[in-house]
Amino acid sequence: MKRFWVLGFLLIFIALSVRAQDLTGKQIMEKALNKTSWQDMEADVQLILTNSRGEQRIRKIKMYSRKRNADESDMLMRFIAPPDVKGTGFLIIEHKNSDDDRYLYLPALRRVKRIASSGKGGNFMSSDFTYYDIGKPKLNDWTYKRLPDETVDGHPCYVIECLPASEKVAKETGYGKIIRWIRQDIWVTIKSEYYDRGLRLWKVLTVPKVEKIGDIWFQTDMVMKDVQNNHTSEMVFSNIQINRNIPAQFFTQRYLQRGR
Amino acid sequence: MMGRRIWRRTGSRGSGILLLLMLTTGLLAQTAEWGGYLKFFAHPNLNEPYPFDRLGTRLQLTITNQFAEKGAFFASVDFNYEETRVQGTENIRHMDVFPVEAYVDLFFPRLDLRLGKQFIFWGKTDWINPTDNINPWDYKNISAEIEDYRIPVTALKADAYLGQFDLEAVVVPHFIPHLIPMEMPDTMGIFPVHDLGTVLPANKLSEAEFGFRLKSSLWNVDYSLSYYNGHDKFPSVEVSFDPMGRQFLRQISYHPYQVFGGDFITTFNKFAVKGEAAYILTDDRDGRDIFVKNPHLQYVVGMDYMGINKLTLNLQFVQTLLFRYDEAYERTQYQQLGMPLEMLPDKHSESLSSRIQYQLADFTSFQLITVLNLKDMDYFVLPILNYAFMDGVNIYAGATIFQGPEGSVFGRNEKFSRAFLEVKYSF
Repeated sequence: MKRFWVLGFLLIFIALSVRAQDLTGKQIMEKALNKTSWQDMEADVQLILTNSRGEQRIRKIKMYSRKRNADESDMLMRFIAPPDVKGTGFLIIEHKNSDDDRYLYLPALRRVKRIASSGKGGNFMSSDFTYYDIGKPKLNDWTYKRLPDETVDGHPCYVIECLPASEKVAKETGYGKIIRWIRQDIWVTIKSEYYDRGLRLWKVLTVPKVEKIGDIWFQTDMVMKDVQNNHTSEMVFSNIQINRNIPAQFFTQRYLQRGR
Repeated sequence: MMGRRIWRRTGSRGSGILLLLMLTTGLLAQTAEWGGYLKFFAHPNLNEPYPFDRLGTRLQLTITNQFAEKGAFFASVDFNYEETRVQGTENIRHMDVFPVEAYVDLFFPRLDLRLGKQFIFWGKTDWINPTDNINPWDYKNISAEIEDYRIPVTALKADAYLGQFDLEAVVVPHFIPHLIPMEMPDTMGIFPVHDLGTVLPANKLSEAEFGFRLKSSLWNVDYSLSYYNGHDKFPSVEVSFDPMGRQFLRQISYHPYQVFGGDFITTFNKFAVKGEAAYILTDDRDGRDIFVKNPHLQYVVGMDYMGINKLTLNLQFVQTLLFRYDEAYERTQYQQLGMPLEMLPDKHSESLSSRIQYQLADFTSFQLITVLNLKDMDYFVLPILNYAFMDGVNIYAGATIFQGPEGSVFGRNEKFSRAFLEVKYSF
């Protein structure tokens, strides 16, 4: 009987190992993208910008987001600090099949302004993160190749090479290749290398901290280093609250222009 | 050089009340937030002998208090110390306390109300907004920040949210004109000019300005339709000859008008296309009063482009068309009164405007605004360099430059060209 149990465990272990080894790059990416997620969330974000001379500027942002459906979400951000930009608000209404609606509220101008999209490759709040980097990538925008697994900071990771599936994706994102390190235990990306369209290394993302809030793993500290321009941007999330039923009307120009 | 100190009486009286309100609110409300800025500014004139038009320091205090989701209170007050040189003859040391904004917001499920002194800006185009007629401009003081050159008004603003449509209604009980740098000649030809003063619209409810604006979106296009009933904020300088006194009589007045407007904006990829138009119906319905503007249409069409490194380009075409305009008649009237013919309005006029914004370096941005009148090729240029020296500290350097042939719109203002340097610490 005892021998039977040992054999059983051994078989399950081998099956799981084979299954993990058999996963393709796309399957791993799909699993990482489709893991349990939030319906709405709010958080305090500290954005630390460091230039090549080591000078720093710190932005504090209150961020609210909600998913309208699987492919579209709304995001409202409001600057809390520094005082010269306090009250500045930014609203993004994402659309699956057309350009996102983007609205900017500048307290100095006292009006909401619809702004042209700088594209997914545009910089998020003047940082080294692009809107693409902070959003959820679309699975079919890329082709995937699984590279040999590696260990990062003691965590076994799947390593996936992502190539743009079309010229349009490459143009929109500005990336010719991305390599992602995805933690095998929690399916969260903890390192990425972004290459420009000439396939030169452009930016390196490291994730010093991940936290579980509810059932969901969050990258709560992300550092993006632009190795070509020697810039660094760090996003630190705190006070994350999820699934609080933020009303849809919160993501409107009316709330944006309240400015606080 | 003689120096004197002036206190703006109205400013200090209003400000005293506002300060009291702010302090009371600040002390009573635990949720009140204080903020503001300290700014040093120097505005040297760009013409010989290059006097400082303005040189001074401003402390602005702001207080914000949010009453949960029911409403809010906001007030800001400026404490200014300023030295001005008038015509190079006299230094005026100027201290004042100026209430910038003070309003209460009340939020209802489908209605927002804002009562008090405030800024209300209409329109979707850049810099030139034919439908934007609520807050006057301070044309003497165009610089880096909108608060410096737009004048707040005491108003009631109501925004009703009616599903697909938002309806905004505004009532401004008290008329405030634009502040314009004007030099009035003491003589016309060989005759002296006697000033009869300025006639402002009566300070009564029937003269209150009001307007409506209906806003909506359709197929990725945001648009609005608006109506405004008020007074032209530009002065009309009316001249008549007094044969008995052998002198000219001059009076400044502000005429009523109605503005029927509309605007739109849509975006695709990195572009935004926008437009704004207003038909201004003045009291000179038959075009026979040379001192009242003819009914006219002004429209602006333009495009924005958003590039990398926060590069934003905006290019706009502006046209103004006068209706019921009889040039021969106007010319004859001007000649009979001895008024300069270069002041004759054009039946149609065209301009180009542009705005370029660019992130020069990590913490340094540059903005260049230009307006070019195509007939006389006269222009206005406003370059602004902004260096974020550290968090909360900004340094602005720039200039307001008017240039053009003598008698042209911007050429007439050449002497008011000036540079500016401002250091602002926000807290």
